[in-house]
Amino acid sequence: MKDLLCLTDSGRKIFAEYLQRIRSGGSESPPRDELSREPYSTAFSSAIQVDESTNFSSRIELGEYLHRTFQKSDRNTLLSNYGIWDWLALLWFDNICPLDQGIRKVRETARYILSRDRSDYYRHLILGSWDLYSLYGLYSRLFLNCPPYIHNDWTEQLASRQDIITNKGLIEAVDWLYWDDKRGRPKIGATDRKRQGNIRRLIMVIGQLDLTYDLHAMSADEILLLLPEEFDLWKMYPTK
Amino acid sequence: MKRRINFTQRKKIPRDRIVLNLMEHMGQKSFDAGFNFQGMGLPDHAAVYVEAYHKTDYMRYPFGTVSQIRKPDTRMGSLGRIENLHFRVKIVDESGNKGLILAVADGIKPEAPPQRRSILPVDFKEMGNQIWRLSFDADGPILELNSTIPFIRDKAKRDPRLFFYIFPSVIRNILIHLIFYNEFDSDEPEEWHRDWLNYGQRYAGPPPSVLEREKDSFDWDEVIQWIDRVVTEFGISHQDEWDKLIQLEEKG
Repeated sequence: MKDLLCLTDSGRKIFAEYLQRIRSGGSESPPRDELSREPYSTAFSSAIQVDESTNFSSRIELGEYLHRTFQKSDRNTLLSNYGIWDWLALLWFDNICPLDQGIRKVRETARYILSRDRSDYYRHLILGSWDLYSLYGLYSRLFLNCPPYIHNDWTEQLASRQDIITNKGLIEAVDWLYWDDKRGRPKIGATDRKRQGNIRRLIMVIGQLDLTYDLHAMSADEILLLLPEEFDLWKMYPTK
Repeated sequence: MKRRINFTQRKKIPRDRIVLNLMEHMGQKSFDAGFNFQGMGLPDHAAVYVEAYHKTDYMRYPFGTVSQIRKPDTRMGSLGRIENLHFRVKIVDESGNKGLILAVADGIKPEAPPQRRSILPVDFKEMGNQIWRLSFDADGPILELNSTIPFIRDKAKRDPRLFFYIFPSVIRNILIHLIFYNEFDSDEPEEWHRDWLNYGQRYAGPPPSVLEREKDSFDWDEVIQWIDRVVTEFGISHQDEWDKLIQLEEKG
């Protein structure tokens, strides 16, 4: 177990340089030890310890682990200390950027180093897992039911839209429509642009309804009742 | 030019009809809001909501109705990203079984609380083998930290050990200096005197009524006890940092 640390700006810089070297074909290990010392990181809280050797099978498991770990911590403090998310990304780099036949496939930097921009902050694989799980618990499964290194289309489509991702009733309604309880995975075809009532259509329809109805005050049931016929297939899908 | 068609007949609330101010009291953030809906043709019974949001954070505050505004508890403690919040004001007709939005103002950036001025500027300089010391000029005390200590700037902000080693003594020293050495004058207190007595009052209540040493009613013991109380309550109010310090010390 390790005390939770907070990567400093200079630590983030070295981490970013490491990502760049790996992208360019480098094969070195992540600089965990180097960046876990001053001046690259500072103590955040010794009251919070994390297990560096954990292998998470999914992002929901990762989110649930962090939710338990941070349960007594102030949300504002956690979110205003960007460096803790980046230090965790470094600590669990093998989870979020695994070696596959000796090669790591490094995706966009925002997945590993937290962006301060609202247009892509939600892509951080560690923060995103904790944030969505801590807000929605079970109903985060559409976003987080994937390996720790994946940023799926559900997250990209829904978490990027502030009106949607902050609406608890709506997130529950989305889960009702598109989560397949029997198979423990999203319903097949829900992200297929050619299918009626797919997720992108839902986003468009919600955008229209939001102009008229006070959707934030509505329950999932009330929102489902507002949806037009094209969504009936998903509502009736006998999996719940 | 793009034409916009408003099918919903939803009204836009002009920004100048809303006043939204952030507030901070004892570290607790909240906001205050005022509205002027006169002449907008909104029904008296329509509900007024203020929504605070940023990224995944969202909170909704009911402010009564158009004709009867009632301020709710507006503390924002459970929100995660208070610094960058935006606000939305919604007028909702709830007379049917679904809330219909009648008017809205979105993307409101609140007025910040009055700019906070530090009452204890910090200076970093070489000072031999001392960790810290206080200096005083006409504007008040300055905390000096030894710049030769590695990472002192970062430690000063985050290290709970340094926090408790330094600040209780700093506060005690400043108040003693103010009352016993600086010739406090209650009729014309200097600005920094007023600031620091207000600061002490936040923790220990009003200071003794007489703080001028030359007056007969000056009570030395009462003053020292008040300063003690300020320092004690300062420590108690930083329980989280204290817990961190204890954990660090336990680990050696």
